[in-house]
Amino acid sequence: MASLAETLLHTIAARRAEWISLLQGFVRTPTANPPGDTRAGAAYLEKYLTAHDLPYRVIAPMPEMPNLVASFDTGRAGPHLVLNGHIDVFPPGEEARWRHGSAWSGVIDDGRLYGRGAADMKCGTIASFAAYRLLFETRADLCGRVTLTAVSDEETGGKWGTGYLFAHHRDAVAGDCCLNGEPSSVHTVRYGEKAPLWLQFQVRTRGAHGAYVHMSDSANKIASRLMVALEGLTRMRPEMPAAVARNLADPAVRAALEQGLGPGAAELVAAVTLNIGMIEGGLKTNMIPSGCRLEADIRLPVGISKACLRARVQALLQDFPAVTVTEASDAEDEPNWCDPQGRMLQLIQDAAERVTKIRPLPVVTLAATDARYWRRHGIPAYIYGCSPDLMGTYDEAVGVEEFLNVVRVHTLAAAAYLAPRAG
Amino acid sequence: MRPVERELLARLDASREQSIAFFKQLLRHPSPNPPGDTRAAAAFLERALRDAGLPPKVFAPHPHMPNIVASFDGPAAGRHLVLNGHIDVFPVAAHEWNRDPWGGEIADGRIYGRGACDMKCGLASITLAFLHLHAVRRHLRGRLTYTAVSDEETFGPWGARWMFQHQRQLMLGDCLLSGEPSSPLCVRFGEKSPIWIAISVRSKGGHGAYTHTSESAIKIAGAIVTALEEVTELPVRAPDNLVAMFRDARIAAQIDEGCGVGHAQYIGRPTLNIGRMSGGLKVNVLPSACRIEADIRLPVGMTREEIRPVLANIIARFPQASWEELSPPEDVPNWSDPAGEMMQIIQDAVLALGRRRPVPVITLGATDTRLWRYAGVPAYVYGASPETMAAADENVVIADYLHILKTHVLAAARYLGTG
Repeated sequence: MASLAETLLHTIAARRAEWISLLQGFVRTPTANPPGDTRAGAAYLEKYLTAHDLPYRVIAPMPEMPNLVASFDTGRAGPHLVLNGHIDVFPPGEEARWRHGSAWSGVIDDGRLYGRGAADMKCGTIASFAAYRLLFETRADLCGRVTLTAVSDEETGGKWGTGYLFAHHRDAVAGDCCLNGEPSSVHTVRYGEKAPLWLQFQVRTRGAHGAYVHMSDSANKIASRLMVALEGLTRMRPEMPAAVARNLADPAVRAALEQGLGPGAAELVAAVTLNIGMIEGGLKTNMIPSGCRLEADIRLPVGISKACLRARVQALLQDFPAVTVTEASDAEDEPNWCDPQGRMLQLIQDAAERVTKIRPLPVVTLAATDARYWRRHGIPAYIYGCSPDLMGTYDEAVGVEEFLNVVRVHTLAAAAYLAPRAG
Repeated sequence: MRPVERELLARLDASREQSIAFFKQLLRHPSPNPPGDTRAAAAFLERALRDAGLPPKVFAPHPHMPNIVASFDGPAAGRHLVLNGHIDVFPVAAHEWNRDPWGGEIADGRIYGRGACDMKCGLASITLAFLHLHAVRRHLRGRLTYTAVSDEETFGPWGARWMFQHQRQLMLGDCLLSGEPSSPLCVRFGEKSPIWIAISVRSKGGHGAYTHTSESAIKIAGAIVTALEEVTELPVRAPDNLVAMFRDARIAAQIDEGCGVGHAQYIGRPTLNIGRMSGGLKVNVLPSACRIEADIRLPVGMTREEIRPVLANIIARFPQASWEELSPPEDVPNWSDPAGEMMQIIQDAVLALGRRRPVPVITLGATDTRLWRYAGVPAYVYGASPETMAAADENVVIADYLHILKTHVLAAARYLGTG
């Protein structure tokens, strides 16, 4: 008799075309955030759930940003596994710079499926929907309970998405463990992540005619100097908890990080990074700008608290009396982590090794995901997904085989987690 | 003082309140450029001319940017003086203002509004001067022409440049008097020249947390801004007959008093303004594009041919950057005779009005007067203090406005009453 895992792999292979077309249709549905209107994307997923008789509810505190929650109970005692993915994606930028003429092409070219959000994270979200359906179909062989959550408002902080679900529907979505398909690469499983600190700096000066440089400081020049000063934050060094420090010191883990996230990634996991995401200053070439806005995305490693970084920023601003700062990120976020040797982590490793022949290693990652909400509540949350190499670029894409492997690994790891345990 | 001059001053004293009301009304007709739609303010000026029996010619090669010309002749032949002003003003960042930028509010002896000094003060003044001189035209010789143009703030193609290309004979004359800001303590006889460039930086872009995967277009742009400062250190060789006077401590002090501390030292040096800087999509996306607009001002003695290779070399250090020139290609620093006839007429008129004798100055900003100088017509500027030009709460001292109006009237009357 075939094992449950073999049955699931067989079913996944048999429905191969269906999964690809499901992802393609989802990528072709624009869900850029900002502006964040994801109704079309949610409707697309609802159609899928309805087509397969999978009950769900829509929780939409912001009407343009619906969240979907589906759940089933096997009727047998066991753990409650939560699958989590997001519907919204980065904005597309200039359509003309996309190689297939559109950010929403969904074109499959040379084994890759292209489009904004293909990697972050429509691949992972569709993997969750595929796994959920497969688990539902095999629920007779499982115990415990599965909940599927697809949220909006992940890219801009989660206030109306996972954050809202935890605030108002905590019992429905918390569970005992979370599995998420954000990009991780085949080489790593993510058990922790850095925290973003988003700061908006406003420079104000008097302003003047552009030829009269003696009349006013320039907000744009001050902003340029501020960028240089902020770069100094990247030299701060964290004090890491022992388990995380041990994990990140492991040469194999460092190699996996570099392989998965690109050369230089291992260093950055333990470092403060600075991205200046936006700058907007001045009205006109020949006016000395009286205002410039700078938006900084600072990522804190495990071992540096936001309080510590805020104090450094305040100290640095002593030299910039024309600058004020406001915080745009969730004040509660801190760098977060769960057990680097937890049960689900090992099940993901086993499943991935079976599917891809590569055993992914546990890592802390650079980017923030909604997994932080579970970790913040003491619930282990692990991430396994496609390569993050192309996310956010004009060539964002996911390998078709890579996507199918994410479907396989999620399904097998989840089924193993929910399998009746001997004794 | 000749009788006609006394008559003109008496008319001005009697119409003081109407003069202030006219300026206020002009400020209440918004004309920011960009976008540059000056139709409402132009219609206001046209009406004033028509009501005085001086129906103007209107040229609107761009339908939103009319140019107005009117002219009259005295009974005897003589010289041709042209008055010039522009109708458009700088744009407004309304949240930075404490006053209504389009309200013409009066407080503490000042009148507030966008364009108050650049240059609706001067425009109101040359308009009223034209009407008063028309009223006493029987005492004048030669011709007086009034020109009010659009599209000056961006040195765009639809204002004075278009008029010089298509209505050159209407514009030229023998001498030009402009009401652009100069400060009542100075008379402008020359000006630096702008070169405007746009620099585009491109990088791969990516996720904001993955700073190892791409360079940042914004950080590169920041480095370019720093590197561009090098142009302000370039050596300058200027003709001594033009710049020696600015080394005179007394003259330099009066220029700084009138145009702001530091003005005198920047007459002979290139300056850099980063007017706009714009890049990125979103806080957590590594930016793949950033654009900078730089406004560099060349002093007398420096040409664009000299600065272009310097700019090219600086920008070439950043292979992710490309650049283009935005300003009209033909401009150079320009000047008229610092001891010319109209200079002396203005200086004497100001003295006669009981104020300090203004000193000649080359100014940092550029104006449409350059087009007359290119054509060999001497051009002089006397107008408001530039103190709040382009800043929030732009304003002019009302007594200065009335003084400038009197100066324009006296100077024009003397130029057309003699020779």
